[in-house]
Amino acid sequence: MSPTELERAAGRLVGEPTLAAPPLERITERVDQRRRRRRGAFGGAVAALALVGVGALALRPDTPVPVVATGGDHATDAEASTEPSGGDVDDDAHDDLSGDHHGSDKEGGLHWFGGPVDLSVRSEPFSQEVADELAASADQTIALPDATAYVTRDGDRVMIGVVSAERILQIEAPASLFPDSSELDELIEKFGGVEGGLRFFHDGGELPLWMFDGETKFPFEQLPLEELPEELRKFMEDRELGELWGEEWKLFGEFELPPLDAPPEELEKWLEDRFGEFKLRFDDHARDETPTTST
Amino acid sequence: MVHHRSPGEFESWYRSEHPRIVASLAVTARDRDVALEVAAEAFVRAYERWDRVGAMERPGGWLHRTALNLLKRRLRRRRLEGELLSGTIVPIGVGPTEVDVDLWRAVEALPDRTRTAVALRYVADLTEPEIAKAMGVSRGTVATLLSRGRNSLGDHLASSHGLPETAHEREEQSYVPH
Repeated sequence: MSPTELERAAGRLVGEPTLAAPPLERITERVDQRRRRRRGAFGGAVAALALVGVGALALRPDTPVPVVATGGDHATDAEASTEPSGGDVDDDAHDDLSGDHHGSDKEGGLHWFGGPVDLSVRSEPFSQEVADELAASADQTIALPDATAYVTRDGDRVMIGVVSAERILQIEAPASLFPDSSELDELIEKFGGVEGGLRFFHDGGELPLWMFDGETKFPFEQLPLEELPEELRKFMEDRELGELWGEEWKLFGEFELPPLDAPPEELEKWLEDRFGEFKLRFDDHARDETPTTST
Repeated sequence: MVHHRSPGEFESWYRSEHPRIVASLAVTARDRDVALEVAAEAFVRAYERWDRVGAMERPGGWLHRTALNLLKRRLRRRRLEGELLSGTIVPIGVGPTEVDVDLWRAVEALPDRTRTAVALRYVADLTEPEIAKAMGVSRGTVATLLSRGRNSLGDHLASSHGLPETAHEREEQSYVPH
């Protein structure tokens, strides 16, 4: 079949009167509703959390207010009670947040788009102490079903995490992922809403690790599980992250898709221009089940 | 080159893009209702970001890429919910003119990726690089998918109607000397 024939048929299809755009108000009303809902959802979340004593307060980056840490049922969680002492875990957490371990895990790096992408992933069983520390340093937190999520900007790094009753999961990314710092501010602000999209989920044979805003994304979702680097696959399987990531936890963000069809050198330059040297790093505190002890 | 479009230009852009994106999504999703919903959501997002999207050289490319991502998310959710149509072909319901009914049924029967590429190229009128970006595949893959799609459609229509398989053959057959 010739392209011309298809174009003509498509032209007739597109010309169908039934496809005419509805009034613009349909769109603008939805935008308005969404904005109201975002504001309302965040306020509602804060109110609800204040009632149950679990959660989070709205924080703007320029108005640091201590965040009420997760507690309540979490504190009695059997798994949490077996966790390492706060001091030791805190030390680990500081190491993670500083990004000092970069470059120490070549095998664990997930190379994508022809170049390494540096987004560190930290996963460990729930620990009240770590949860407290993370929440206290958060620029923004929000309640999710059965979890609390947070975002923190610390210099040139951005930490996005989820604390559930079972596990703490954090992704750390360079702030340069967001070339415009005001955009990052906006994203942090938007974090309190329900729309937008850094998402953690796992459905069957694919690993959609995260997705930005439904518009542009790292195409991790297209990565079949069997094609994952061995370490990452084992990480997923061992931790049964499918269960943890069963929900779509929308946090925030958007991202520009790299020019996948560009020559390697052009792609590499594109990545360098935006991100510098990136790699994906896994800090698996759960790997060693023996509680860490100070020496 | 950067084109700055005013907020007022959103409406005209919205009206011109709407039929094309809905048709494209309907072909891709094989479901008109889903296409309408996804298109509306994509336009909402475009409206929210119009200062940025409107400055793009071709905001339509962004719109289709966004819509395709939304559609994929929607279909994945549907699959997870066990509502997948188990291979059943659902009429796209966009009201194709009678003369093209067989063609669009044949398009609906194409494999997912091939159908998506055909929809984006011929219905959405995206370029091959734009399709590659939207689908997250290489440009070469797009070319292959489109070629494969056209061949499949030609074969399908020829076998179902005894039509000549190539455009040249069709022109030969329809030629009436004066």
